[in-house]
Amino acid sequence: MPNEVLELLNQLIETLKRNSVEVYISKDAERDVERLKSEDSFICNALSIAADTGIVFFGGFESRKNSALAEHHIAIIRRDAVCKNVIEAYNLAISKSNVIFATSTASKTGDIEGKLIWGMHGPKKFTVVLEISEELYGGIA
Amino acid sequence: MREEDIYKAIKNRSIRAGILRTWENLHNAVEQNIERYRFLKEYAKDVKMAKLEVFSDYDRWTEKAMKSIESRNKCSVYYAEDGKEARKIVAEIVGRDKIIVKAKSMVSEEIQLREFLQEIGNEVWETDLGELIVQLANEKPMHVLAPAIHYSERQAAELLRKVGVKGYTAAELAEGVRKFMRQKFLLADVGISGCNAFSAKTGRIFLVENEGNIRLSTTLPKDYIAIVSIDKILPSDELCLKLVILQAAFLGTFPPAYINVNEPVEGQRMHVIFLNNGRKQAPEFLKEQLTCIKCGRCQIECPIFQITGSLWGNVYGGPMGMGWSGILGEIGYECFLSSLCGKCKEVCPMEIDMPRIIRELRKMMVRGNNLGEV
Amino acid sequence: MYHPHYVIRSIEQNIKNTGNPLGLSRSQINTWWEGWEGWKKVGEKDTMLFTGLLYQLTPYVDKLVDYLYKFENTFLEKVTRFMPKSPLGILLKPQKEAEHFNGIVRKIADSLIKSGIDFCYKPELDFYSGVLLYDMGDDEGFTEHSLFVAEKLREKGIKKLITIDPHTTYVLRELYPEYANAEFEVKNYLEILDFKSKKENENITLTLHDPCYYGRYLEISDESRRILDSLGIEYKDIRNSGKLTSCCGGPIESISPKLTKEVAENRYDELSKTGCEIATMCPICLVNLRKFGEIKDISEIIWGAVNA
Ligand code: SF4
Repeated sequence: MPNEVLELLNQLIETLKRNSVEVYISKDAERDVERLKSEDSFICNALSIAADTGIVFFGGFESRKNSALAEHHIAIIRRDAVCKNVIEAYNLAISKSNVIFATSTASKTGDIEGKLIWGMHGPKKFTVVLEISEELYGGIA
Repeated sequence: MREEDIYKAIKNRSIRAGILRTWENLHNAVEQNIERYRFLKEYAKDVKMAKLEVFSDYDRWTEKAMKSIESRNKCSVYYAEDGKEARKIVAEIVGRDKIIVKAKSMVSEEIQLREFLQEIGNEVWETDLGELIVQLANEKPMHVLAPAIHYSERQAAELLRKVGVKGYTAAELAEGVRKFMRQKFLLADVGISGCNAFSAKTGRIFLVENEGNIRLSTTLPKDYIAIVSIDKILPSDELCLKLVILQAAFLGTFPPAYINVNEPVEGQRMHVIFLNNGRKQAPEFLKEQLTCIKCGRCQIECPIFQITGSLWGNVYGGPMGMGWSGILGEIGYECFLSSLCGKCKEVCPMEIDMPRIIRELRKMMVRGNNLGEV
Repeated sequence: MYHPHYVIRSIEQNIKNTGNPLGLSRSQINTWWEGWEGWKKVGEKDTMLFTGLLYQLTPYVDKLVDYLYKFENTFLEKVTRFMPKSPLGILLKPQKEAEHFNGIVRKIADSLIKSGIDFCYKPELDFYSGVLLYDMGDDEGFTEHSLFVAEKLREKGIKKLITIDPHTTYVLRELYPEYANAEFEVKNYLEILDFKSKKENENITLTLHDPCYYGRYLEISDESRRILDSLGIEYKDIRNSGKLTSCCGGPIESISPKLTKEVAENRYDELSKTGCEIATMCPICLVNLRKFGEIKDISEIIWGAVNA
């Protein structure tokens, strides 16, 4: 069992890095987030995340507003929010909240000559703080 | 389509430069997505089947879709037979002297909503960067998802200067537009979006994007209008999710930065307008085109489109545009400009047989002696 | 843009009068077999080489398109509508090119003989397939023509056809059964050439421009590569080949030759990036792409290697 979980977590971390997302592995998210936050950041707990695509679901209309307005969006993700794929992640999210939305990277555009620019209208930076237990911590690649 | 547009396109080398560059950048990305995310093919099949099912009984599904949100608080639901009716409904909701922020939406191009809202005395902003450039140039989008594909950095800078955005590089321009548009988002009275997929089960509207402008346009204003063309109706949330994922994956940028799942909420009045505009009346041979998810891959890969961009076509250009023009009842002899080479069908996630559709359109015109005069 | 109405009407009339879209007499176009050496080696069989006249017609089409190109989007565009059709042949006579394209057909026929394939050739049964009418959406005209062609072939007991270009192959194989109720066994020459050899390196590397119909509609792009392999000829494939091949722009040359030229130029640029010799296998692709540089028909390369 822990092996499967580790595999899933390692897949997730790889996916997030591929998506240009800043990832922190943490044993205590609340504490670590304190260090990351600034007045321009918005922190919220994720309802679920898909390990294969890195799509993160959140809940609540106010959160949707604040996460879009912030310069830096920080997502806290707990072990039990990690799902295999996006359908599973959606279903988990919708079971926890009525109003959901998903984010997977910082805001971006390629509209001028195909040049990739981060931070178009939404956050310029998207950070994931992945909280995992002591026993799993050692198995993260 | 006007004939001179084709010659204009041939002369305007920046159209092909832009499209070829995008093609070069994206075809590998799309192929990689297909390779990496093995579920995409299956998603496409599921979505196509569901769409065909919905078309087989549009009336029932439209009714079901409308019912799904009618009973909700803070939500009004409308049905518009055509563009004229839709514009009238929007006008009644909006009134005049309002600031309106628009998310890029092809269906609003279809009914020329921006121009209309401006005419009746509103300040309207396209909030997607590419679409804003196109708005300032007073042109039509050159590609369904990459509207300003044909503008160089320098040309974009020139156009954006019209609204006081300074800078020369894409990064400087994006930063300028971010600041400019943020003010508009905060001041806006009304937000307008289209819809990528509508769940008839729960009444949720799915919208996929990268810039964050759709999220801001549909979250900040007190009034939010969503225009849902009835081909966007799907039976479940799951299918809607599959569709938006497909759309992003087949243009190349995957995963999309944002998936919006909009529905009526406390603190916002929502207005949902269902729009037919020719879809119910589409002849049998065009039904397949209605399964199109408007990813624009057929456009980028089409050898004719690579020269002409959307100037070849009407609201929608290129291979998919031929079928859509047929649905909207505005097809002209541009369908004779296709070489029927079949690349569109080959690359389309929904495997839509566009060469067949184009030939059927020709047949219709030949048979009806409907070729007209030049 | 030449208005489809006039294009279709003139093609339809010409086919009615002469059996081909240009309205030229058959004795003028189909001359490749005159004085052909291989003539002695083919006899009476139910397998016939069916060229569909596309290679033979192409030099004439090309010449006509040259004019159309010059007139397109000028006041002369409208004048072309009233151009008399029959003297066109004299006006257009592309002597040198006609010889070149006749030579290609001859090389294909010779390669078939070399490959030990039994077939006959009957100039009087070699007809244009009607593909342009089909493409233009003129199903009525196409049906009529295909019925005529199929009947002539059946009358003479022809059962199997060997075709030499992608369009004729597609039309005969995929459309005639439906439109003319004619079930000929249709093989493209690239599918049946087999030199049963395993040659050493020929010292050329090709980039192939697959015709759309071989790549996608018929899915036989592997056949040309199989033959090249057996002849020891190397090739460097680009992304847009086989199923993903890109069009040369040819099919729209009667509506907008200007657009055709732009499409062809793009394609040529892409093909030439490999720096290899470029080969195509369709007369329409050949005339369109060679406007920008040297291109050979694959049959010329095959023939060269076999007879080296
Ligand atoms: S026709 Fe196919 S490839 Fe073209 S936009 Fe629609 S779904 Fe995409």
